[in-house]
Amino acid sequence: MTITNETATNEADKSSKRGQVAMVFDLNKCMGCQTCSIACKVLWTQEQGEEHQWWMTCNTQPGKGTPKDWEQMGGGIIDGQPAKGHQPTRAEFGGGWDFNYEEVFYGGKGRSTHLHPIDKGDKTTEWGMNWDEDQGAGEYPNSYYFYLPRLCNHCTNPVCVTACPSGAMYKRHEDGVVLRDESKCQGARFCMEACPYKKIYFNYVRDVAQHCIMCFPRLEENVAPACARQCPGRLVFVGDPEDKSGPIYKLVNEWKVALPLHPEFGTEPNIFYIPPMSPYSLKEDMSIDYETPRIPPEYLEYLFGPQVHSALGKIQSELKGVREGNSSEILDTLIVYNWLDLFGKYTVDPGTLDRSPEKVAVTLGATRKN
Amino acid sequence: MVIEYDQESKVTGTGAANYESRWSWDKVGWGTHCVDCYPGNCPFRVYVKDGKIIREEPAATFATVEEGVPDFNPMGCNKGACWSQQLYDGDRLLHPLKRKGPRGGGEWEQISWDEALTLVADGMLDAIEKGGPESVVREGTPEVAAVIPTDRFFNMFGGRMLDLHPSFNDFSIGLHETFGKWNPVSSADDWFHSELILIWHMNPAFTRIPFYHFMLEARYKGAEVISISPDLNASHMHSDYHVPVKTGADAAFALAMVQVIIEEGIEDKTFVREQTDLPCLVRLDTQRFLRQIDLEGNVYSAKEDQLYHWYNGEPIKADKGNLLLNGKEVELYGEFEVTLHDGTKVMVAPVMELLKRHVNEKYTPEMQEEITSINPEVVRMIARKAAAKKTDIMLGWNSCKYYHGDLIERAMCLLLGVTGNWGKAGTGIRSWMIGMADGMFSMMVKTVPGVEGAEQLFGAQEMAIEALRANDPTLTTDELAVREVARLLAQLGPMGADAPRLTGSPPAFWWYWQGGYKERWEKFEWGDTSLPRKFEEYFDEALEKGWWKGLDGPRPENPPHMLIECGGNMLRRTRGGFTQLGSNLWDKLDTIVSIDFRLNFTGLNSDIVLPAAQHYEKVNFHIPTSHVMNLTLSDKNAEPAGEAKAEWEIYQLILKKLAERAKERGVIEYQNRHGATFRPETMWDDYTINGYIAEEDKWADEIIRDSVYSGTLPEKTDLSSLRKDGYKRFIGWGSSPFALAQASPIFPDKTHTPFRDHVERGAPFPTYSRRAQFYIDHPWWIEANEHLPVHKPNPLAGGDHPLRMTSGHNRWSIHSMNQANKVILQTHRGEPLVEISVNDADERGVSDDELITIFNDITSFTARAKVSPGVMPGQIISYNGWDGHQYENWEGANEIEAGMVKWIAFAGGYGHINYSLAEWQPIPTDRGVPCNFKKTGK
Amino acid sequence: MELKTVGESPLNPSSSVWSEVSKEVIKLKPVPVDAQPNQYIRNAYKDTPYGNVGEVSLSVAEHDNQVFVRLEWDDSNEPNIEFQDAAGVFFPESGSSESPETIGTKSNPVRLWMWKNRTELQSGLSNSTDLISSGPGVFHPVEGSQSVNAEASLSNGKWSVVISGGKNIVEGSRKLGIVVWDGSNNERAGIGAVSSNWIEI
Repeated sequence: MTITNETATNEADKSSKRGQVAMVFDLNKCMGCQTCSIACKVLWTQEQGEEHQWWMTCNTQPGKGTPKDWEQMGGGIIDGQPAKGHQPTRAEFGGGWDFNYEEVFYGGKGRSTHLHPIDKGDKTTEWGMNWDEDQGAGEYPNSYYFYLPRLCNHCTNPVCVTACPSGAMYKRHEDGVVLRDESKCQGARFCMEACPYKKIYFNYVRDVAQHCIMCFPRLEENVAPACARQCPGRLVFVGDPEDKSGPIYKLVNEWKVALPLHPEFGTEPNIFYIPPMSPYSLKEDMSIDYETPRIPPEYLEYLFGPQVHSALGKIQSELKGVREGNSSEILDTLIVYNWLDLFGKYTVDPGTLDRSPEKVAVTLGATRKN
Repeated sequence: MVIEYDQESKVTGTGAANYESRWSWDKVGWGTHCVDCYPGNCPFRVYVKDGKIIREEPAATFATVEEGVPDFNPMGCNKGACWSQQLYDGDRLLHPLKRKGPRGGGEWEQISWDEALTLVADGMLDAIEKGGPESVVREGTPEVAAVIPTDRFFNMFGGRMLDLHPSFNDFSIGLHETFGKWNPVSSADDWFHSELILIWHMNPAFTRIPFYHFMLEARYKGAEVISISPDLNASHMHSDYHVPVKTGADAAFALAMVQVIIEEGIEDKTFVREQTDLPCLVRLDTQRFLRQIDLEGNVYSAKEDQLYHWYNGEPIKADKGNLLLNGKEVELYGEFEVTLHDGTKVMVAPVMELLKRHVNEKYTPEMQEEITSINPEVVRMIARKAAAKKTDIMLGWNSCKYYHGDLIERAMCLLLGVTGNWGKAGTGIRSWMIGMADGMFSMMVKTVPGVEGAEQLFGAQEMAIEALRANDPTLTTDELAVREVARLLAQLGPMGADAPRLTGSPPAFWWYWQGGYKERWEKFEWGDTSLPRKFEEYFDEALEKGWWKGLDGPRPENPPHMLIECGGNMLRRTRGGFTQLGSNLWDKLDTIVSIDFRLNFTGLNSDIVLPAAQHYEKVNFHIPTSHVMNLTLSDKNAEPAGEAKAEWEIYQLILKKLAERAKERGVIEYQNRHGATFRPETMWDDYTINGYIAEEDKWADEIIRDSVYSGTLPEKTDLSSLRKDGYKRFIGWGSSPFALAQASPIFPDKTHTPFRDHVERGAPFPTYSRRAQFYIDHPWWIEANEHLPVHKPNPLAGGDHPLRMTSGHNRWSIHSMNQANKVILQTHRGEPLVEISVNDADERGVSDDELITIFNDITSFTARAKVSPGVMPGQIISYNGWDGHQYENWEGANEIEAGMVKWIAFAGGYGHINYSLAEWQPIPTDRGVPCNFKKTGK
Repeated sequence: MELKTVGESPLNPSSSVWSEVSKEVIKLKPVPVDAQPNQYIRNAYKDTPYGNVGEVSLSVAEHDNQVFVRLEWDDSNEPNIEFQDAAGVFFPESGSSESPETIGTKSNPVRLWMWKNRTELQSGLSNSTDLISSGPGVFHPVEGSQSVNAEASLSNGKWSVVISGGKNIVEGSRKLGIVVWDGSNNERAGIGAVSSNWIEI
């Protein structure tokens, strides 16, 4: 069947094949440092109504993540049909706090007060974008956790777009970036309900929804998205997933070691993950248990689907191979000897660009409606 | 299924313009984060719009250093990515402030700079009148833009400067005891060459964010990674094995591996013979080394520190000038008879033989299991791997914060020693270093401008080295000679011929006499109860023997009157915190000045607060280190916010005001306790070399040019060339002992591996024995049974309580910096928390995020509980960095830390066991704190 | 209903002018789920009750070429921080024979004057919008229009809202439809209650 955005207001010229930009995150390199989250935050969501918005987040798994318990909120495309979902609430996202700096530093109250998030009675101080950081699961000493960076999946089947009644949302033809025309957005938030990854936020000040724009102004200048370019772990590949010479095609399609998150959500994400390894377990007598994986395979399957076993198995056997002296094209790709090899064509150094507000305004006037 | 929804290809609507304009700027400049973020040195581009700094992003312009090794890009972290957001945050200082009401009351009067400077100058003059210039004190800080202007300022008026190292407790004492230096520092990309990485007393996923990738890239190349830690810290997940050694039991674990290696005969014998003191002979009757004076009598030609090997049936001198044996197989095992100069026959044995007996007797894998809980087979497995592979111990500054951290570190070094794991790419152990930008050191004392001034300073050191070498030809390397100079200078101390203007001292005595720590350190049951003597007996002996002559102040009869804290936050960082300092030190101080860009806990408890420029608002540099090998610039990208000013300008203004007020008060000159004369009228001229370096740019340029002079930066490097590239790779070590400690050539196209010179050229170590020294026969070590590395239980400093509080750097801040950054605060729970185990939480009926009170015999503090399955039952983790005023009643985790110092650190008179600046000295400890917790209010 | 000309602007719902104008109670029904504009909403709301407001009291007046529509309904529900109470009045093009219950269709769009309660956070936003609606929630702003205004008050569990716009819009068909959204029930867009018949004026 075909699901269309029945209320779209503009049609693309479909004479060319739609492009797509994709990412692969190597979870075996992710240290949960939140640089991606912060890089995004500082660049994109610093205005009023965006305080709680973190288009890029990184959470400890297993965990409730952000918004709290998002995996239980429904949405997506199940059996070919858009499925009902819950719109995550402001309290479920939490965060976006103000702090009582003024009171502590200048309020004359001395020790009777201390610096803390201000509770406005809206339960936003009871959760945040990284509330269950480093907690994980399991029983000591065989407890375990790992990090999962998440952003909008810029899905091939973006159910958010189809759910938008006002025709504000669309998938950009040239690179598949899912965007929203905020002048058309009526704040109805069906996108937030339908998105199974709960990666759309609501701006309570401007009455519009917002989500990751894949740094489209940067992509247009061939600069990698801020999260990927700032990632100190060098673990985010960006590029065209159909470029057979590129690392994303190889990791996803050829070697099949990179997988989408929750493939059963049915929206065909364009963000892929190398599943995480973990240290060997310990037996009762504290000797090494080589048989029982520390992270339960069923948990990984829950996250990444049944393909995860072969993907993980492949990474582990390649690792065994290099330890026995073999070479591994997969692991050499994941080493990323030259940092710029992560980014496909998006290798421009932003510091060299002229992006004066005047020039940006002129460019916009020439090529874009405003 | 197909979904159709494509729209026109360009973004339209208000969203587009909105987002396009968010990613725009007027100006791009260089920035980095010039605090005690180590290794730091991440070159960032700083984006400016409408005269305001709006954001930053790693420049990521590094070329590959070594072919086949990943490059350093992008280099940055979560803190760096929002450093700019502190510029205009709620704790940013915009105006000079004067306290109203009691200290810490949070009531301020905004005053003019002129008023503020007058208060500071008068405070200084009052203190000088009352107790001499030494009664104006500063603690150390590694923030380059603060420390150089501050040090130079203190030099001008004769104030007391406390050694910076103990203030932040990052002295790797066991490394110093072993190598005679605490700071071997490979470049971060050298990790890529490792085959076995032991993450041990470190959590690089938190503390080495920009460099962590090298470790994982090494793993993808075949290296095995082992995480040794009681809790499953964030670095565990990228490891192949997690080894949950019990808190503070690491020495036993390491010694058991050594036992396995010796028993199985897989030690690297050639390496052991050349690099270590393990083949040196020890007299079994005295437990002391066999010395030349033993064999030849106390005659002039017989050196006290000449040790011996056993070779071809007789003792031969262990060469002090070169370690290479060229295949000569000196004995490692056995017991031999020697005849002393008086004819007495005694038995001797190489240290290795004693070590073998020692570990067989006490540290077999089976014996260690009782101490560490680690299965013996795991010990054997890792020991065999270490013996076979290029092994790197990823060490932070956690171990050295244990009371017996020196023992833990000595045991780690011993593992590397017996397996031949230093001086080769991908091996070793690490601490930290500052060096190479020698202009930073010269700038603290320089009196003549330009090259002439540089010549004067560096030339003086050259002459001293030559003089020493003439006396002792075994000082075969610059490192040995420079260290000898440093130790001699320190021993001369403030009484030295040219030094009476300077008053510097290790802060141990400041805490002991003025901070109320005497009482704590002398609590026998809080220290090592296996000792035959009390702390005070060792302390008195150390002072009687003159080991701290001239350094043991400020004594009770010379209390401090004024404190200037610039770029640091001593109330936050001091172990024992406000409970100790507030009730002891604070009341002695008439004037407390905080110079900072933000109102931190110390500032909040000060009298006068001067607003400083932030790192993006002034010209400054990061701590130069061989971890990164670059001098990294942070430029002035915008005018400082509000009325803030760079420290370099602030101190000039203070000196001008001091001259003005001194004149008005009729103070023409004054003397310090050593009789040196100071004249306020000329201090600004001296500070700026008659105005030559008054301008910020000129000052920074002079630092770079002096570094070029000392050979650490390429010819023609200056401020303008640095402004072009943002950083410059060092080409030489220059003349500081910290840099020369690397003992390796700098290759332009290779990763940096320290200690190559020791291994490849036989360069001696700057230890008593001139070798990596595992046997310390100083009487205090023998008396404490620590002459060989041993495991000792962590003392009960704080009382007998069932839990042990550990600590470490968190992911969110650089100490207290960024701990109030509103962006960062959103990435955790925004309030102080402690991590507790599921078992301990259950036992006390505590659930996640509940407020708990953590207590011991000292006091208590309150924080939110984070119940984490990865925490070892019995352990509480309180990551540090939270500022005092973030806790209820301003009582933080450091309030329950006793801040004990190990008595042994007061020792001296033994080669490398002697004080010199930022080296051997007592350091307070704070790990493994005995405590308990309960629900708050119960 | 009579479109009575009044002597002063009755934008304030408590204006005494309204006592001169007759009221009529209009029954509202949920917008039909089958008419919802996309498969997602049709699927998600087929078993979700909505259209909480069953009736409104309607008055209309005219002053100075502006039409004023006053709506009043009971609302004693706790406000929801997610969605705000809102109401709209819409006008078909002349000659349209379609039912008002879909708030216009693609082929026969309607002009929708919408009032939305604004929270403290939204103090920078107008409480009224001039929209073209071509289906439930298929709303597009009339670019540049500033001709719609609204004032509202909530007292004693009752909303009183006046929405006004240019008389020219009304003149074509001279009939209107009403839509009300109960924010506490997450109502918005096509999820609301609508008048099932046009009200002639």
